[in-house]
Amino acid sequence: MEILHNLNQMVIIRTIIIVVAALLLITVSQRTLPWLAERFSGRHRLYILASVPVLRLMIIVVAVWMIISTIIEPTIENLFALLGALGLALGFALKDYASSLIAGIVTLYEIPYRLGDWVSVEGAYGEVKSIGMRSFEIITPDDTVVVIPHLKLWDKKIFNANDGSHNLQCAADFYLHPQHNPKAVIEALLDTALTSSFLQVQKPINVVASEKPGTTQYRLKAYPVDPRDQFRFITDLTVRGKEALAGLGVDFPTPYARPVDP
Amino acid sequence: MTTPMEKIEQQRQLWRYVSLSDYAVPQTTMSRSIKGGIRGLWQKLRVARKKTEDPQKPESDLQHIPNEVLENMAPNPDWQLPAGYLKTALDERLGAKPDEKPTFLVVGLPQGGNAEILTVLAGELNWPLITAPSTDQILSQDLSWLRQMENHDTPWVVSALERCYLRHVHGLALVRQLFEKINTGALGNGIIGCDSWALAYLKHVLPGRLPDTLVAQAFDDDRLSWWFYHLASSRFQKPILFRQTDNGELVLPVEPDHVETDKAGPKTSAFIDQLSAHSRGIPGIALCLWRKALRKVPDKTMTDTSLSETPSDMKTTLWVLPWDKLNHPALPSSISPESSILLHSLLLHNGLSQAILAEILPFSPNVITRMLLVLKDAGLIEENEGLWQVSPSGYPIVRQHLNGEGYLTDQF
Repeated sequence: MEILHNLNQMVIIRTIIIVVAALLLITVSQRTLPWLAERFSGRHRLYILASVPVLRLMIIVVAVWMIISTIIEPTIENLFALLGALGLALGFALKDYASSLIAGIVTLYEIPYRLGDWVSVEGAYGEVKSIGMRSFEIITPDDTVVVIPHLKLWDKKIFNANDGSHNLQCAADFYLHPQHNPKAVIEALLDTALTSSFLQVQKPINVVASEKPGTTQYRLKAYPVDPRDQFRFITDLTVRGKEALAGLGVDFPTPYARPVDP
Repeated sequence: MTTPMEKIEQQRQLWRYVSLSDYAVPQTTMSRSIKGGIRGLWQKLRVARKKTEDPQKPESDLQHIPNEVLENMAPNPDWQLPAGYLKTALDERLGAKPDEKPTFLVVGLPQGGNAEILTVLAGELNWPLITAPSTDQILSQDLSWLRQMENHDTPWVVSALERCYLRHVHGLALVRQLFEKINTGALGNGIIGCDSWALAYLKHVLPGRLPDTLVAQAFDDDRLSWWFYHLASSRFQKPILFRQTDNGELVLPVEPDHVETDKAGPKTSAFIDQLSAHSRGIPGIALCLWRKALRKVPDKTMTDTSLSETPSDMKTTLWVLPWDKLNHPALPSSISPESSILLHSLLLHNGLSQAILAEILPFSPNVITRMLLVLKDAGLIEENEGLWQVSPSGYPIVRQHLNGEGYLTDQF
C-alpha cells in the first residue's frame, strides 16, 4: 500500500505555501479582530473577541486537510494509518502538549473563557487577553502576563467572573465595631453603591452582614458598568463607604484589618 | 384612520402631553428605511435627470445666515403655548379625580424646555414656584426646604427635580423625603418637572410609587415641518421656500397645513425625516440642527428689514444643507472611560457646575478641567450660566455612546 504521494519539489512547495498562508491568515485575524473589537463596546466587543479562536481553528483545520491531501492519498485506510501513527507518537512523547491542544479544541465548544473575560485559575486572576491552541494568556491587575495551558480545564477549577457578559459583581468589605446601628449601616452602604459613578444602576445591589470574632463584616456587592473598572469601583465603594460610615459615628476595630477566619 | 383635518389639528397641537406609555420616539423603522432607501435612490436618479428643473446652489456660493436674522427665522420656542397645553392636560387629569389632591410629574427631555414651561405655567396661574435647594441644603439634608410646599391653596410647582438631588451619598435624602411626603398626601396638590435622565436614575432611588406622569410627545417629521414653517413665516408674513442646496428640492412643504391633502404641493426631501429621527423628536435639538443647516445667498443683504420689504406675493428662498453635509460633533477617537462618566453625570443632573462635578466625581479637579475642555472642543458640551451641559447637537451621539457602553439612559 502506498500512502505517500511522490514527495517531489512541487508537493513540498505547495505544503510550504499552505503553511505560510495559514500562519499569515491566523496572524492577521489575531491582530485585526482584537483591534476591531476595541472600537466596539459592550456585547459587540465580546462577540468579536470570541470569534478569534474559532476562526483560527477553522483556518488550521482547512490547512491541515489541504496538507494531508497534498502529501498522502486521502483514503480511509491511509488516514487511519497516519492518525494511528500520530496518536502513538503523541501518546508517548507529547502527552501534555497534545492534552492541551485537545483541551483547546474543547474550550471552543464549552467556552469556559473568552477574550475579555475575567478569570481566576489556581490563584492567578486577570483579563483573558489571548487564547492560543495550547494555552491562553491573562493579564493580572498588576500588569503581569500569566500563561495558562488549556489542560487545566480537565481537573482544575476555573472561576469566570463575567462569563462573556458585561456583568461582573464586585464586593467591598467593611469591618465594623460590633456596637452599631445595622439598619443605618446598610442604608449608608446601599447609598454608597447607588451614588458611585462606576455603578451599573440596573443591576441589584446587596449588602451581606456576618459576625466575625471581634467585628461585624459587611460585604457590599454591586456591578460596575465596565468590568475593566472593577478595581476603581471597589476602591470608590471602600473609600466613600468608610466616609459615610464614619459620618454615622460607627467605630472601626483597631487595627482595621481583616480577621483570620477560624 | 386619521382624517386630514384631524392630522392638521394634531400638528397644531405641537406640545401634546401624553402618559409615558404613549410616548413615541420618531425613528427610522424598517419600512421607513426601505422607503427612504428607494426614495434616496429615486432622488439620486432624479438629480441627474432634473438638474434644470429644481434650482440648486453650490454650498460654496452660500453663506451662514446672520444671527439676528436667524433669531427671527428660527426663533426660540414661545413657552406660553406649551404651558397652555400642559394646563389643559393637567385639568383633564384633575377632572378625572375631583376628590383627590394629586401631584403630577411632568417629564421633560434634555433641551425640551420643560423647566421653562413649568416656570411660565406657574407665573401665569400665580402658582407658587418652589426654588431648587442650594448645594449645601442638598448635601446637609436640610429638610426645612420642604416647608415651602406646605399649606398652599393652589398647586405648587417644582420646575426641575434634577436640581434637587445630587449623586452623592448625602445627596438623595431630600428628594426621598419629598416623595415620602407626597405619597402620604402631606404636601397637597403639586406639579413636579423632572428631566428624563434624572427620572431614570431616581426610579432606583425613590421610595414607593411615582405620581401620575406626563410627557410632551416627541416631534415627528410632520410636526417639525409645520413648526419650522410657522416659526419662519409668522415673523415675516410672507411665504418662504426652504430648498436643499444639493438638489434644489423643497425641505418643508409649501403649505404644511395641507399635508395629506391634494394641496400638499411637491414632494419634499428626506431632511426633516432624518432630523426628527436623529434629534429623537426633541424640539430644542431639532431647532439647533435646523439653524445650523440654514444658508443664504451672499449677494443679498438679508436683514429683517429687507425681508419684510420684499413684496408679499414674492417668495423668499432659503437654502438648507443636505443632511449628510451637516457638521455633527463626533466623539474624540480616544474618549476615556472618565469622560463617559462625566458625560453621564451631566445628563443625570441636566447640567452641573465644575465645583459640583469635583464634589461628586472620583476624579481630581485637574482631570475634570482637562476632560471638560476636551469635550467642549469636540462640541459635545457647552457652558451656560456656570453649568456644563451636553450640547444640543452633541446629545444624540452622547446618548448613543452611553447606551452602547451600558450606562443607564432615559427611556425616551
